[in-house]
Amino acid sequence: MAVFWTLAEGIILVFMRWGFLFLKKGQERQNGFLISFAILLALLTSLFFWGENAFGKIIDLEKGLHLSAYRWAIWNFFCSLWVILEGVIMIYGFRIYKILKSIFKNEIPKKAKVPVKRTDFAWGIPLLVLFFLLFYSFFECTVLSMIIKHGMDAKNLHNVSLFYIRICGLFWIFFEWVIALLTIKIYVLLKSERGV
Amino acid sequence: MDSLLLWIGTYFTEETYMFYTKIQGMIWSLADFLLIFFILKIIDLVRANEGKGKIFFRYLFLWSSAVLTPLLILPQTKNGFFLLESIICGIQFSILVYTVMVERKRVFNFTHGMMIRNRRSISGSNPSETLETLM
Repeated sequence: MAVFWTLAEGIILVFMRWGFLFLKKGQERQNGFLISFAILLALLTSLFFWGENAFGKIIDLEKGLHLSAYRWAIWNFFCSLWVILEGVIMIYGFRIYKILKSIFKNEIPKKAKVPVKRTDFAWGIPLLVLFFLLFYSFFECTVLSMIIKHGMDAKNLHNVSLFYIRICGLFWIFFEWVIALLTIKIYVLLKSERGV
Repeated sequence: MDSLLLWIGTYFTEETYMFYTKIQGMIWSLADFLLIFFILKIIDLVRANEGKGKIFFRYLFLWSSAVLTPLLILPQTKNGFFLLESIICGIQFSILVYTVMVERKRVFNFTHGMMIRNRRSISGSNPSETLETLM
């Protein structure tokens, strides 16, 4: 399921990029992105199904708590990844909306003076990815130190990880609603344009 | 931070998790519903532009997912919730993917037509230019 939903989010992201590239460059080709995403998905699938065996050779995953910590770390990673993908989809939504608005409001010549990176939120994606990877790493490091320093047990680990998933859920909801509102704005824009 | 996590580890129980999961599930499912609904409305605009009929079955499936959404309050286990959520999201995702696969070219043609029409109204701009060259 974790891999399937990552694939589903990835498919939506590919569609969004198609739309964005079409509007910006007049073409939809994104072979590099598709190959990179396929490799990433293959790696994630390997991690999900065979990671336990591979990591078991390096670290001790025999003990119940270690195994629980590992499994929660993987599940939390996938949850973070879904939020990252949703966030990236939101940024592409912003970029598509901004381009459409520029076209329909005849703002292109005026906006030509503004650097492209500032206008199309290009900085947003690396910033978002970095933020969530740091957030995930910070959480996992804190949990590991809690296990080592304070002897956190499996039950506490379980509850803390559930809490982390719900924090991811808050970000997820925020991104989903922004995307929904952007879609409504795009609909209103197209409808008013068509009515002209 | 350590004491906060210890407190969460003690008091954020499975029941608390289920409670917040159900609330969050309904909020994001509502957002998904709105998202797909307005995508279908956009497609209706595009289809009307080509003189094609309105979408019917996709709206029907979408509304069936909307009917299922309040049921997210019922499951007592994580697996039960996950199953119902997968059905709701599965319906919405299928509509989205099908729509993009079937209507993509139509939407691109519609948008492209609008781009050309709007660029022509800008004095000195060349309709054959892409947006990248203009930006």
